[in-house]
Amino acid sequence: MKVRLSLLQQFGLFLIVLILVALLPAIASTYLITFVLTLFMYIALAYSWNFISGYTGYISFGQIALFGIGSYSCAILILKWHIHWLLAAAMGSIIAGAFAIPLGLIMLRLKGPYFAVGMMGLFQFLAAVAATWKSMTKGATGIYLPPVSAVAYIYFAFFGLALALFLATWTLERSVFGLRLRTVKEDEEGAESLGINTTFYKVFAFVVSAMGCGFAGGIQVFYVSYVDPVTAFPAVLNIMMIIMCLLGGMGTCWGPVMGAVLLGQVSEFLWAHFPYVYLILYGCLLAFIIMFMPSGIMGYFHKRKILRGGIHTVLPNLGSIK
Amino acid sequence: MNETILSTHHLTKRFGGLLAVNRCSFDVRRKSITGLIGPNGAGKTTMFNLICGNLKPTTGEIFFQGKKITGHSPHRLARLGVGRTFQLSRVFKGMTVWENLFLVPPPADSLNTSVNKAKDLLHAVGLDQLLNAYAGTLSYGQQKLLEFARAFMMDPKLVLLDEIFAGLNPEETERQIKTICSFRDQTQTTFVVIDHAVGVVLRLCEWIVVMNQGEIIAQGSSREIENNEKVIEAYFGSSSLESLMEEEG
Amino acid sequence: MNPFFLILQVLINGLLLAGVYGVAAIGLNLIFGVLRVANIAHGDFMMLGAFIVYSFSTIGIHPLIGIPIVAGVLFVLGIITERFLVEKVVSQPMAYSLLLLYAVSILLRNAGLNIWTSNYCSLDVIPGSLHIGPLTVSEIRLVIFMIALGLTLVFTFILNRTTVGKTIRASIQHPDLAGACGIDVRKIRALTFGVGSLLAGITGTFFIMLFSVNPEMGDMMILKLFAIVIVGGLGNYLGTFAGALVIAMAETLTGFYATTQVSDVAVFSIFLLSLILRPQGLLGGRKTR
Repeated sequence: MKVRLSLLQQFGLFLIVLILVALLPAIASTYLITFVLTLFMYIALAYSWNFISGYTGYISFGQIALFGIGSYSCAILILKWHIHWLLAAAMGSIIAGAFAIPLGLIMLRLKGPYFAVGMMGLFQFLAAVAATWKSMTKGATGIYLPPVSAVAYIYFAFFGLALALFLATWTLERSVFGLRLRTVKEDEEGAESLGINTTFYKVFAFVVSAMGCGFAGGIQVFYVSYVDPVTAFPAVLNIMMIIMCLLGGMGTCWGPVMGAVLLGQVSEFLWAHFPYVYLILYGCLLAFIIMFMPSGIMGYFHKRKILRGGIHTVLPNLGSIK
Repeated sequence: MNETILSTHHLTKRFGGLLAVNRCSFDVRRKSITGLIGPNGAGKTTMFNLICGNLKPTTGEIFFQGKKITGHSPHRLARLGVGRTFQLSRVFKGMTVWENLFLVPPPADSLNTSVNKAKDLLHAVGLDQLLNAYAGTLSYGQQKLLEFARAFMMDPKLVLLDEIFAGLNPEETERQIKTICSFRDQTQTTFVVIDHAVGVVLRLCEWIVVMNQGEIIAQGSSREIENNEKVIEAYFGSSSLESLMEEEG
Repeated sequence: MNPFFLILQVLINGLLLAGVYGVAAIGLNLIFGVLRVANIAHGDFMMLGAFIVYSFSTIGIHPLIGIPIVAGVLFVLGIITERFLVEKVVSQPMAYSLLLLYAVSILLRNAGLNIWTSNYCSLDVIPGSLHIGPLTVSEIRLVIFMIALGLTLVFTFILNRTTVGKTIRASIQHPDLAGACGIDVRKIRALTFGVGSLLAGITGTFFIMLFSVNPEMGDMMILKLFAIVIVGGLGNYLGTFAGALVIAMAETLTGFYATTQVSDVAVFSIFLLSLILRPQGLLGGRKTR
C-alpha cells in the first residue's frame, strides 16, 4: 500500500489542520485546550532536538539547558522591565541563541559521548547556578509572575512556535544548506575536505535548536507564572524531547510531530495511572525503540514503502538528461 | 606564474614515539602528474593528511602557490583549491550522485555554471545515467569515479589522489589513467598520486617522489626512479624493479 | 590551624578520594576500550552498588559481606545488560549505544528513586579518625583507600599477567583481529562490561560509606568520571590516575571552602576547561566515533 499525496493535496491537508487548530479554543473545553497547548510545546521541543541531534548526529542529553535559559531570561525581563510576555519570550529565545554560539563552538568540537554527557552536565550546572545565584534568580524560592489572562494566547504562541520549527525543518530538508548540514552526520572529515565548513553548520543547527528551546521556555514560564530551578530545567521534558524524536523518527520532517503527539497521549495516560513508575517506563520505551525500531515510526513506513522514503533535496536538474 | 604549485619544507610528523614523516622536503610542479610511492608504512598517506590539513605537522612548513598553508584546516584548503580523494572512497552513501556533486560549495559560480559543470563531470567519468541513484548503490569502482568527479566541483588547482587505482580491474585502471590525463590536459590541474601499483605510477607520472620509513629517499623522473638502487632496495632487497612490473602486467 | 597543615589536610583527603574515583574510572575506561561504548549508566551502577549494600546493612548484613555480594550482583547485571541490550547495538553507530545506555540510566535512576526514595543515606561503618599531629584522617577513608588501591593493583595484575587479561587487552587493541585469533569476542565483551559494572558497584559502596548519597547520584558521578577520563586521556590507564587526582583535588578543595553545589560547579568548569584545553584527551589515542 503506497500513500502518495500531490503537493496540492499536501497543502490542502495542511490548510485544514490550520483551520482546525485555529477554531479549537473557541469550541473546546479548557482541559482540551490545555492538553493541545502542551502537545504544541512538545512538538516544538521535539523539532528543536531533531534540528541538532537528528541532522548532525550530535546527540545532546541536555538541550533543556537552553529551555531554562529562555525561561529565566523571559521571567526576569517580564519582572524587571515589564516587557510584554511574548516579546520577552522572543528575547529569551535570542539570549539562548546567543549563549549557544560560544557554547556550540566549544561543545561541538567534542566527539559523541563527550558532547552528550557535556550537555547533560551543562543543564545540571545551570540548574545549580540558578539555585545559587540568588540575586538574579531568587534561588529555589523562584520568581513569581502575573497570571495569564487567557489560555488561548499561550495556545497560539506554542502553536506558532511549533509551526515555525516545522517549517524550518521542512525548508532545511529541501535545501542545499540542509544537504551540507547532513554531511556532518554521515562523514564530517570527508565533508571538510570538500570545502564544507562543518563547524559553521553544526553551530548553526545548535543555535536554531537553542532558540527553539529558549522560546518554548519563555512561553512556558509565562503560562505557569512561575520559575524556579526545577521548572526551568525539567528533567522529564529533557527525556521526553529525546524519546519523542526517536519514536517518530530522528532526522525526518514528520517524525518529531508524530512522536510528540503519540507520546503526548501516552504521557497523559501514564501520568494518571502510574505516577511513580512512568519515568521507568520511559526508560524502557527508549531502550525498546533503540533496539527494535531505531529509525522510529517514519523509518518503519519508509522501509515498508508505505511512504516515499528519504530526504529529497530540491536541486536544479539537467532537463534533457534524466 | 610560478613553476612550483606545492612545496614542503622539512615537514615532520611525530606520533608519540613514532616518526611517521621525517624532515621531508619536495616540490610539485604546476600541471604535472607527480607520483608519491614507497613501501607500506613509508608515510605517504600521512604526508597527504599533512598537506590537506587533516593532520597538523609537528614541525616544518607547507607552501601552496607560494603562500604558507601549514596548519590550515581542511575546508579552508579545499576553498583555496586543494582537493583530495581518499583510500576508501568517501562518497556520501545516503545521498544521490547528483546530490553528492551539488553539496560541494561552488567557488563563486552561478547556478547554471554549476549545473553544466556537474553534467560535464558526470559525462567525463561515465556516470550520466546514474545521477539519481544513491551513491551507496554504486559499485566500488563507480564510487571511486564519483569521488574523483566530485573533487572537481570546486575547481581545484591541485588534486591529491590516494590509492585511486586500488581495487580496480585492468580495464578500469586503463580508463582511470586516461581520465586523469585528459583532466590534466583540459583543466590544467596538478595531480599528486599515491599508489601501491608501482608500474602504473611509473607509467602515469612524470615526476616521482619515493618515501621509505618517513623519509624521502629519491626524487626524479620515472626512468631515473626505475633504475634507482635505493628505491629497489627499499621495496625488496635486491631484485630489479622490472620483474615487479612484469608481475603486475 | 597552620595554613600549611590545612592545605596538607585537604590534599590528603583529595588523594584518598582520588583512589576511590580511580576504581570507577578504570571500569569506564575498560568498557570503552573493549566495547567502544561510553557507559552513560556507569554512575547509576555505582548508585546500585551503594544502595544494595545500604539495604543489606539495614537488615543486619555487615558491609564486609555486603560488598562482595554487591560485586557479584553488579557483575551479573553488567553481563546481562551487555548480552541482552548493548550487544544489539554494538555494531551500529555510537549514537545508538549512547541512547540505549541513557535509557538504562533513566531506568536505573528512577527505579532507585522508587525503591529508596530521594532521601540521602549513608553508612557509618568505622567512625573515628586517626590523628597524626595536627592532621586528621578519618579511619574509614583510609581503609577504603587501601581497598581501592588493592583493587587497582589486583586489576592491573590481572590485566597484564593473566591470560584473561591479555585476551582483554588484545580485544582492546584489535577487536577484529582478536576474533580472527579464535577469541570469543562476544564473551569478552560481556565479561568486560560485567567487570566494569562490578568496579562501579564497589566504588558505589565506598561512596555510601564516605558520603551521603541519594539515588540521583549517577548524574553528577558520570560527569566527574567523564572529566577524569578526559583529563587522563581515554584508554590511558596511567592517565586515569592523574585525572582522578585532578578531579578529586578540585572537588575537595572547593568543597572545603564552599558548599557542595559550588564544588559541582567547579567540577563542571574543569570538565569544560579540559575539553577546551586538552584536545588530545578527547582523542586519547583512539577515535571515539
